[in-house]
Amino acid sequence: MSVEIAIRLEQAGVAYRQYQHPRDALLEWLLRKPRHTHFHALQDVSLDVRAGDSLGIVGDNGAGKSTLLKMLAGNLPPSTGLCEVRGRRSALLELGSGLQSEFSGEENARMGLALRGLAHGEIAQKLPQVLAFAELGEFIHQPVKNYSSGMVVRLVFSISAVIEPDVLIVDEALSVGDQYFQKKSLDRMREILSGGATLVFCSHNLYQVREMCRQAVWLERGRVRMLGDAQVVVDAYQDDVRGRNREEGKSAGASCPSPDKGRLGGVSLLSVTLNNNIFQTHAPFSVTLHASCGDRPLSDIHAGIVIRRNDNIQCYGISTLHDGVAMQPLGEGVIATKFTIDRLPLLSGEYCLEVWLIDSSGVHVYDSRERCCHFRVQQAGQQQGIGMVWLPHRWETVEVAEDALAA
Amino acid sequence: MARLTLLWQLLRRDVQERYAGTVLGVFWLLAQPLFMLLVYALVFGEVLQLRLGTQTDSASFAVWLFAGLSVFNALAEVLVRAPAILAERRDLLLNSPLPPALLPLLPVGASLVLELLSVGLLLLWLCVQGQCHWQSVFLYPPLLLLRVLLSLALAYGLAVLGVFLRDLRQMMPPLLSVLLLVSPIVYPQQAVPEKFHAWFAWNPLAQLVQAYRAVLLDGVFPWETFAVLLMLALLSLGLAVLLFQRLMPRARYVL
Repeated sequence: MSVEIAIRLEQAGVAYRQYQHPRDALLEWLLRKPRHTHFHALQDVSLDVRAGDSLGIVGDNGAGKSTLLKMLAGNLPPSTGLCEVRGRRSALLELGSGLQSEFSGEENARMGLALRGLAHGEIAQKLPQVLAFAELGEFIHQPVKNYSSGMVVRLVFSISAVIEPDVLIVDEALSVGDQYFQKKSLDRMREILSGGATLVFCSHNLYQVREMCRQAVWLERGRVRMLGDAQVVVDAYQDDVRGRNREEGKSAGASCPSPDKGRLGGVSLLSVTLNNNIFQTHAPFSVTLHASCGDRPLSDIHAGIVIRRNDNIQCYGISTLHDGVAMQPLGEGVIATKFTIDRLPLLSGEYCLEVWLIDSSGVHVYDSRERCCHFRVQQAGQQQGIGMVWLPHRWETVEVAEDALAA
Repeated sequence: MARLTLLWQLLRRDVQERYAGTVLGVFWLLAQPLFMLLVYALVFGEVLQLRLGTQTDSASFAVWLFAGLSVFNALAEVLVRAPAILAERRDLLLNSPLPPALLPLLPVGASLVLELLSVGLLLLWLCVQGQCHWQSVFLYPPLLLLRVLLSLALAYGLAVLGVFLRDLRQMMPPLLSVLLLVSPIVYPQQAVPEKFHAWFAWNPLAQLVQAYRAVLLDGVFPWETFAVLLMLALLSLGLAVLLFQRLMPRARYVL
């Protein structure tokens, strides 16, 4: 293989043994009789990260993210499988762990550098940089126990990132820092990456994961649910989270007007057809509706369409009534219409349709289909933006007033 | 190299942490044995009138006492701290790539500082009194090495066992009181009836204390005792390190 592998995990797993009492662990060893129950924090994780690449980790709380990071940081040996990390690694893990609260920030920085494998001379050389990066001012001489959590993050990130590690491991703790420092640390991470180092990044801020990482892994209950391109994995995870929120929303009794079941006048939906079920952002999108008009006049039947994302957000809804368009008679009591968006502005996510047949007052509902025609939208990358929809926009040059220049 | 730096940082903090905020600071390391000396010298030398063989002044008894206490205090430091050292540094151990084998070195390091300070003080005092044996300076380091090896064996063994057997931490102070009293540290061996002398021959602590006195006070090197104790120290150190390595992965689960 021509490219160097920086991180290799082969069926790596971490199982914690739980004992009733600490002495049981000793008795077990002496008597060779198991006295523990297993707790699998991580199971069967296999992945390779090439040197210079970046890996994002997403997943719910308790999915094993922190355990994976700890293992990669070398704080925790895998209990099964193989975990290889090449080069000097530096980790920013859970908040404040590994700090000694009685000591000053400077003392802790010295210790942190020593723990990361720096010798005496290197520490003397790097310490001023760490202190400068942390920008803690006079607080650097205060005991760490007096720090706010944001200040702790500043200190630990500075220790982790100022040395030039081959593998930098950053936990979601980073998000505790203020906006200014977050930006500064993200910039620093990017700088380290472009210097050829490998980054492992775990965050609940999925946008940051997508931005920073090329690859991502989605952990669920200690196992890999998905591994691959960061954009794809993060989208899938986001869809899953939204889906679960929707389930909750449902049980909480989401209110939507129920159609007057009685099929007044025999008006009913016959079919709703989508031209595709996976779309790219900006691809053509169309929905074809067929309905039977029963004994109602054509002018009293209108179709409405709502696009809903799977977290129950209404993205857009419109009807033939509001647009002032009539449905098209196909003969034999069948009417139809085709709703088309030439360039679908939706961004990645899972969506579905709601289709309504309403009368010309807009109040009475003849028939409806809710949550039908599930479809998915994929976007080419972050360059199409983030959020729900692509909005038309442009960036303009700023007009500079003459007198402002003169002053 | 980086390991050495790390060890140095750990040691420095360890000592600093203990005396942080105290008035005497690091001088507590000296104050503690001096205080002990004062009390024992008063009680045993002045009140109980214990004397060494033919000598009759209480000053030489104090010096003799101090030599014994120096080595005992150093060992006590290790015995008391070792069973709790892994739990004390739990956070560092679980949340950083700290090699666990460095931790038992901390109490040994502290005991080294303690011993060097009190032995230095003792030699200084002897020189001032004109009772100094110049050979002591050369004969002492091998004995110190022996004591450190024994301490390492105890530290590694107790550190890892202390994780599983929490009672060990509580047991150490009373155990030390017993050790102090069953060894000829505060009383001379001659003060004990003949039939108990066989016990002293089998008591490594008694042997070690007597070796220290021979070197520091008489300038004589007890080769035989040294050889036997060195064998014992190396053997137990080997076993302790083995035990430490075998049990450490388990210790992580219950720390």
